Amino acid sequence: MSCCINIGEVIDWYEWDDAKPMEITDIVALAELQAGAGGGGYGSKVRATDFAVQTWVATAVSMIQAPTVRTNGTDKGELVADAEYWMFDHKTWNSALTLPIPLRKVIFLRAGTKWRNELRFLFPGPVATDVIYLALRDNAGTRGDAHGAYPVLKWTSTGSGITGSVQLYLDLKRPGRYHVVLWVKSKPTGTPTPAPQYSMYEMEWIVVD
Amino acid sequence: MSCCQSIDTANSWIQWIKASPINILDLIAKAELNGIVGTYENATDFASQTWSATSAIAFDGSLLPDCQTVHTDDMQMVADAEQWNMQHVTRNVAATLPIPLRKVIFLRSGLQWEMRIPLSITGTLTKVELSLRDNAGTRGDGQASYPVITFENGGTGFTGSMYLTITLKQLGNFPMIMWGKTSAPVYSTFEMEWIAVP
Repeated sequence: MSCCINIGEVIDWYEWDDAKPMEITDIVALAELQAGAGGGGYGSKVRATDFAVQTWVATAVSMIQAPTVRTNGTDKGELVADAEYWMFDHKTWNSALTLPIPLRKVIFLRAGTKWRNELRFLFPGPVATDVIYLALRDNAGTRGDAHGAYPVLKWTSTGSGITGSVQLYLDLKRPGRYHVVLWVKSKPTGTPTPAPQYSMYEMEWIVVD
Repeated sequence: MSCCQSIDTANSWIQWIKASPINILDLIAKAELNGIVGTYENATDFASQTWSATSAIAFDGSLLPDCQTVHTDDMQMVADAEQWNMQHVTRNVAATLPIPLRKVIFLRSGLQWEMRIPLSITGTLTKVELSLRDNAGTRGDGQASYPVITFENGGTGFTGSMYLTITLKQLGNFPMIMWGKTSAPVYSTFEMEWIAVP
């Protein structure tokens, strides 16, 4: 009898369906979003029941700047310099228009709680975003935990919702290769209010020392 | 001094660009597209193009990849392939599955087996190339070329529903690209994530 399957060991979609979701906080020590008037702050660790099964639309989100790294130890000149050295010899994103589209989601980030990675996205609108989850992509292929829920980091917008440039700050615990998604629920307006739309922006994080 | 970087150990795009492409023949023992056997090529047109946002190649409807044995004269092997097909869902075709997971398929590895992957081609492609996705992030080999399996079909090209039939040598997770070129030419890529299992 099979029990407690890890996603990394599945041999087909039957087993993937039954696998246990992975905790995003096994990788992420801190995630902070800054979305101007749309809100932001630290992500809340929640168990979401609406993460996986939806009617999906293509994502409108895009990355608009190569990720950067700075130190959290800003009072220590050596760590400040170390972050500068790292940025000098690491190219975190390949934004060349000639790069095949499937590789444009691949970014390099720095592991370790001494370092803060900054990612910058464009949420173009015109429909604003209401809710954002940061989660591991492969969890969405499972049926969730024992309660059909999925571990995510969550942000809910304020005011009229999130549009425009959005910064995501990340402190990461460990090196590795991770498929991560930004799950986006729109905040439609109008009378009557249309149904929200759901999309996922996919990233491939290669987290290195 | 760094030399002979491999893609898997690249710590940024600076190293990735300088890495050596991985030989597609390390993974694939044989590949056919619509019955036409592919040929190995050191291709110079694989990586750096102006890309169409829409891929001409897609999985065909709700059809699933399936396993067949090459030992068609051995009924036990035929039955083994049937048993494998019954016990494995190779593709998740649920409309509710998030888009980033729809490229993931499971394939059976081993020289006894052929996996048939149902594809649909929109328009007509004059040339199709199959290679490892990550090769396209490098500058190629010493001659700026990339190891691919090329499919060409004379003046007819490739259009509509067809099978990509492959035999795999290795187990593992492999991001793959099927590269398509029309006569115009318009270039596009179809991304797949192959999980090769026993």
